[in-house]
Amino acid sequence: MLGELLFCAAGVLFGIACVANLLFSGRVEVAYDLLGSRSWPMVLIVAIIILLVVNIVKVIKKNGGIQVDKTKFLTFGMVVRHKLLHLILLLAIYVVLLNQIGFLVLTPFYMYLNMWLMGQKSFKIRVIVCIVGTIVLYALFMKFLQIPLPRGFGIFRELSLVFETL
Amino acid sequence: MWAPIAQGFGTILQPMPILFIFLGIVAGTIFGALPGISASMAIALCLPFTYKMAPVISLAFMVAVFCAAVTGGGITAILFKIPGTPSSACTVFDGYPLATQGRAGEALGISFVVSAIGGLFSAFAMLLISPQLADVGLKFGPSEMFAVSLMGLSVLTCLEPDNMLKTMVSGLFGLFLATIGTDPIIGNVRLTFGFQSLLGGLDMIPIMIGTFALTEVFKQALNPNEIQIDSKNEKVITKMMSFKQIYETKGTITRSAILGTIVGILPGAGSTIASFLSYVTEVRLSKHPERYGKGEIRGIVASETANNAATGGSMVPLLSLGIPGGNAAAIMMSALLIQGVQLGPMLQKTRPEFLTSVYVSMIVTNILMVFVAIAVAAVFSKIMKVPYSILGSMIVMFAIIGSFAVKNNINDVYTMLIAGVIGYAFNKYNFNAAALILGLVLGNICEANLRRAIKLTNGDIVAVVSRPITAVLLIFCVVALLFPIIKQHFFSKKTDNLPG
Amino acid sequence: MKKQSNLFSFMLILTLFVCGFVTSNSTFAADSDAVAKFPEKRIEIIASFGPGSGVDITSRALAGPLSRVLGVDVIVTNIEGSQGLVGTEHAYNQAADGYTIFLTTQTHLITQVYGLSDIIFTKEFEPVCRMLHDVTVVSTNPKGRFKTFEELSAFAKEHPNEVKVAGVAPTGLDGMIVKQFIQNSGVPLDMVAFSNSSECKSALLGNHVDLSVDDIVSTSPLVQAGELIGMMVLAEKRVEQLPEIPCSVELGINATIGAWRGISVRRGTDPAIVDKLEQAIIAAMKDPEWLAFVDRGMMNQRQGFASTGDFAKIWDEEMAFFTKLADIKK
Repeated sequence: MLGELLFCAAGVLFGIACVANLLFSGRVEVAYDLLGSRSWPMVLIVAIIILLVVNIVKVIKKNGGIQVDKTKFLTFGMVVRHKLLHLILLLAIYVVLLNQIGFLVLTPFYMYLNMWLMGQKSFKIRVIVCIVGTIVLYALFMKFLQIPLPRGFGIFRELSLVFETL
Repeated sequence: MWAPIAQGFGTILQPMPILFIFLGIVAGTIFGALPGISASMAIALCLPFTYKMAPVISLAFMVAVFCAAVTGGGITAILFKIPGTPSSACTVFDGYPLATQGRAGEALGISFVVSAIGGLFSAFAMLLISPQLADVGLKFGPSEMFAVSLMGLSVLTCLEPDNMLKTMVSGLFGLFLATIGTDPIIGNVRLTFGFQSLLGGLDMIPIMIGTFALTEVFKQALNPNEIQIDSKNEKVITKMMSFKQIYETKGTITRSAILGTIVGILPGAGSTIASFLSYVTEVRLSKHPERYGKGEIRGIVASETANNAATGGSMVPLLSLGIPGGNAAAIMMSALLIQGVQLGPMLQKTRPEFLTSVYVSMIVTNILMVFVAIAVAAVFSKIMKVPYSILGSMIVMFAIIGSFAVKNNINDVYTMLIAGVIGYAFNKYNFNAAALILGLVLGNICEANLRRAIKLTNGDIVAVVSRPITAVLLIFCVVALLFPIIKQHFFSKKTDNLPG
Repeated sequence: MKKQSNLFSFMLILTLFVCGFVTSNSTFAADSDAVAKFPEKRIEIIASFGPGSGVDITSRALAGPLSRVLGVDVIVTNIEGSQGLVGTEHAYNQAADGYTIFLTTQTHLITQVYGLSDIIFTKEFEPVCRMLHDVTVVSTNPKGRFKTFEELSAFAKEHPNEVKVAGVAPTGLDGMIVKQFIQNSGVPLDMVAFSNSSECKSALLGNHVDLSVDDIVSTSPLVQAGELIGMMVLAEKRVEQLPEIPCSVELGINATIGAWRGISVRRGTDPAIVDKLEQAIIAAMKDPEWLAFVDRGMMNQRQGFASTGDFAKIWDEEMAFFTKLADIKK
């Protein structure tokens, strides 16, 4: 329940930020454009905010007030150990570093750690899959489909270029 | 009229053309199944091969790639919850639940057969009434397109009658996401919060991949007991759709084929819009709308019939007027230009057998592609038996690369990640990801065309809604939108209604 | 449990370490040996618009001939998004060694005028040469409201903003074309923006708008079939393939903007390399494959080629011109 309330509240805050953005954004207008740039998104976001607030009220009323279940409260230790958070964090780090380090070098690390997080116990399998997987993906997307996967910068770039011309 | 048709059959039904069509189907199915690789990318990649072919054959080849790609998208949609092409997003809604129930083979079989039916229907329609269809398409201007998109959005009130509030929020949020970027009429920058990467707006494919595939991976990682235990142990063999099933769903098939063909002809709408509109129409007309999203085969039928029917439809403006309806068609047009063939209205008069050959090749394609799709699906479904710790990682990698491949742009991967997190929250707190995607897909058409329509009548809104086609569609919408709300408010005995 | 939190802290540390360690955006200039041997490896053309776009097909048409001239592979990489800005950013991050060349069109200048990007295009890139200069045609529907330009112009002057012209990109090239036309002809048209040129043509054929601006090659089949009437071409003289269509200049309207396409490289590239590229492109433009492409695309209506120096002048002139034009309608 608390989670849902927080989610809706975050939505409302985001909505307010958007309203502010819209109110202060570009004012160029053209002929006969009755709605203009702002009307449509404004109506949508206001409707969303209202409905979210209604939902918050509904949830609170249904549960007879905001009940905070102390046992379920996330301590920092629990947050650190929460598996989903690790998955998301690992993925986020991968994406952020992808442009800097390049696909070829970074992906094996990511896949290894991801498989470990998802419960793959065998070290051998993890190593084999992450290396073979990277090679297969590289060959399929880079070579065959000619998609310019990120090369990275500095030495990583040179390394990637070497592989590209193989 | 029959002479060119006979000539068309004569040109296509030869060993070499059939071979090329077959190769095109194989390439198209595989590319279509791979997420992030769109039909137009597939055609662009196959382009160099067409230079050696005669113009008719090269067009037949590209059309084969196109149709097969739309079909192939359903494979990964059903097996892995990643739509291989955006036109298979709706196939995910009911295809993936069927796969988790151990009925993946059945879902695949249905998907391929109805794809063929849809494609064949539109191929025959093109063959026989192409000029008339083109004329119908041209009648749809901005105000008509607005009404069409509104029809799609009007389903938001009946997707989940018991959960209307959150469904509406989800749909509105999708519509809202579509407004981020530059305004379609003036070019004003909206809601980018200073991020240059948002100037072009949010692409729907990373968001689809995020809310479907990534969310699913997150879910599975936390609750390993919910995995498709059944289908892991048995081989996923594509079960061809039985005649009984075809008969039972004949209404859906017919409606979707017609709807798909017409939507494909409309300017600015293609396979993706067609499959969404068809899906929502079936939900609305069904006596058991709550079954959709849990494994209702009519969901797959609606989506896959319509998206393939739209491929034929989108070829109509290209072949009869020389106006490409989408990226894929644009590439086909430039490929032909390189070979010295200029598509346009004159072609119908000077070389009618050229056009009929293309239609005939579509017929051949749609029949052959069922078999190719079964083979490709067999390969993909072997992957399903891999333990989830490995499979999940591979799915995430495909999600990442697929999102990147859309525009070769790392920002789309960020989008996908955020969409995955939001999708997880949606799932957990009972919001509706399908409604979000619906809003996202239809949002731009809705707003842009409404404003264009108002501009074109010099601000006269009454004139906008009183155009014949528009008026009919809008009346439909209003009824469809309000009916569930009224029904629940006045006739339902439930206590947690929307206030007011 | 302990393992998980160790893993977590490990990942945090790794991230910080790597972020601090890796450098970004290095513009290495080549050394003299590399200049003399240029090109030694593959050259990449960045097309900042998607497959099927004008920029894309021009890039692909250039790749083959250029590769034959230079003796190395030339590949085309599409990086689309944000009206060409994402591709610009990608090209910006590559080394200024001549192995990444950028297919340039007016849109890149226009987005700079509207201040949409942090990367100032004319500052960070330098011209190599221009290859093509297309002609825009203004067309109307024979079943539409106006049969002649005089009719249209008279009506428009009485009812400003009621005559509708379809175009793509209100803050892009079409927007500028229409603005210039309105300004120099005195005919107050109202531009209605559509998502792509196919929608514009469909809107015109369906009689939802009065006029449309487009390139010649896609309009001419419809004109030749009688589905559309070419009202005028925006050029100094008439177009060969469509000789009955008057040109804007002969009607007294000085509106001649048409899409051009050229090559640019990252500023800081060695001038000798720029020169080599220019010479190579000049040679490539004599290749029969390129000539066939230009011919079929009807893009040889006017002088397309501009040398490095001339192209630089064009950039300066057009930046000033677009800046002025953009301000007028605000």
